[in-house]
Amino acid sequence: MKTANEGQQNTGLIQAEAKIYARRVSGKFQTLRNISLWILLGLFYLLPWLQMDGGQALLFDLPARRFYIFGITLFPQDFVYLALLLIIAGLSLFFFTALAGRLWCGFACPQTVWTLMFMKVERLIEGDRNKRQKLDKSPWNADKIIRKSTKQFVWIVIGLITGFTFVGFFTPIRELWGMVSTFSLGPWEAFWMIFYGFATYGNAGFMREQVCKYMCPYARFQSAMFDQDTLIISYDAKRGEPRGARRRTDDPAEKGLGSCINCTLCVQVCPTGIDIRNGLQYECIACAACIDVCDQVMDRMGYEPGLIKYTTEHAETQKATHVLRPRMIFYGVLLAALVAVWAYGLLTRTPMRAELMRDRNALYRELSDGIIENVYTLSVTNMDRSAHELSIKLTDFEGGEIDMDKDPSIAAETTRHFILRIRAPRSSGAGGRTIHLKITTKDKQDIELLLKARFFLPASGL
Amino acid sequence: MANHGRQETKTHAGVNVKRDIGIALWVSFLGASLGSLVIFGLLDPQAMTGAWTEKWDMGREWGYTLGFAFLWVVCIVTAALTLYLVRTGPDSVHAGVQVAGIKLPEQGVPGLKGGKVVGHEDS
Repeated sequence: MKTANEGQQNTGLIQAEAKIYARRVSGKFQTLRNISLWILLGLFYLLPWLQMDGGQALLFDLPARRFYIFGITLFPQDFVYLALLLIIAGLSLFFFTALAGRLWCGFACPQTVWTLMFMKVERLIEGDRNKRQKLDKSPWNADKIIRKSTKQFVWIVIGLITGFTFVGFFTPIRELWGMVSTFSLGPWEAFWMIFYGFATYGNAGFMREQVCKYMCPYARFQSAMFDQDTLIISYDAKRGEPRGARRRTDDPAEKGLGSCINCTLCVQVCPTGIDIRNGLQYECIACAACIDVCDQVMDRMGYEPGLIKYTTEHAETQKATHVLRPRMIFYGVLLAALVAVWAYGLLTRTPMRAELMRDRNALYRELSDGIIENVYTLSVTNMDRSAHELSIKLTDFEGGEIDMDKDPSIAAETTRHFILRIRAPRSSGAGGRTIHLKITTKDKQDIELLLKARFFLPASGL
Repeated sequence: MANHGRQETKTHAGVNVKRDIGIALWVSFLGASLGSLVIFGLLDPQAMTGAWTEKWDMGREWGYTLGFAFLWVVCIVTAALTLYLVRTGPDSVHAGVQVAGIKLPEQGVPGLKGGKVVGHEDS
């Protein structure tokens, strides 16, 4: 009984399985998936081209260690925003998984989105399921060579455009385009473009559902976030069984049949090649293709739709489904709080930092006519995309004066060190006192930094 | 029936070594990516150039690359050792083919109803 296929089944890196020829399907959920596809792909391919403040609106400049995100420039010191964003993303995944199951897998995961696009190309060139199966079985002839090579060519082009766009998030994409068009790419750009292009081509063209089945950790642990009120795609076995073929005019009750006509269309449209009628399986990415196709079959037979449908375990056992449940409230509140903290921090963030350090060599220096001098180093980091004129003042130090070694200006995205000599008459105190320094810019209202330092004077009686 | 073919092709104590290596490489890749993100978010590779790299003067790109490669190797060693210990221990439940708790994907996954894959008999 052992087939050749079975013999080699488990020796490879990934399972050598029967190739899946997913049948084309349309319907409510596939329309939603297509909308999601175009929005997400549009964002990916077009966002790097968006300009803002004379630069790329979205750019992760790793060599310079600067992230430009829609007018905000993030420095390594702003790592907390990135960390918080990752936590928010993780928590959102938990929230939406608990609420609606594998929404991410079916509608938003890049693996799904690019696979869907590659499958569209394949269908356009090689035809739908039956034609593709026939083409694969047919001997190599002119038609097969033309179709297969056209498909490969288009896939490779999409892969390269994807690689180019990906690198365009890290290297200014307009410059990158210049380099590509003059064949003067640097080694890093060329490597990543080809690597990412190849990964796209391999994952979306060949690996497809195997990535979800064998490589994706989320696919394995997502069920831990499920409860009995989570949306799942399920076949109504009570209504469907016993399944069987029949004429449209037949009365199923008379023949002792359920609603399932055993047309196997639900299996044919499945991108992961499972039979949803066997129950919920971890291979199911919740793309809802089986729902759309089965509803059409039910419609043609004159039966009620929903033999396969989005439902919950509670609904299946005739119990009420609760959308608002402790788990959802907990995730929801936590998520809202984190998003609020993150957004507030980012929006009210001052694009300038400063640090005041005392000169370690001497506590103070006594000048002629009873003036006491303390020396400090002021380091200012300007995270703005524009240069600034600074104004540096003492806020609560009567008689105190600042003498700076250079003009108080700072170029865009730089750190500059100033030597500050703060002088005050001996009469202004004894021992030490705390002073406050206010840094503002002459052109931008919202930048205001307050620094604190110790100022030392001779002890009284000296 | 499907198990029949599988047992004959198993190499090391009934374990698919190639797939184990694949898993170790892939999981380590994920781990190293996350590790690089955190480490290079906090550390500037250029600031790490000490006495031994002075003459080299590598750019940040090389710093990121070497850092990632280092993390990847460390993670590969960890993942491979984990798999090795799990597969070769005296506990036959861990080492054997008929593993009670660990199931191959086509046998279904614990915690899910009826995880059986049906092939494409129709095609």
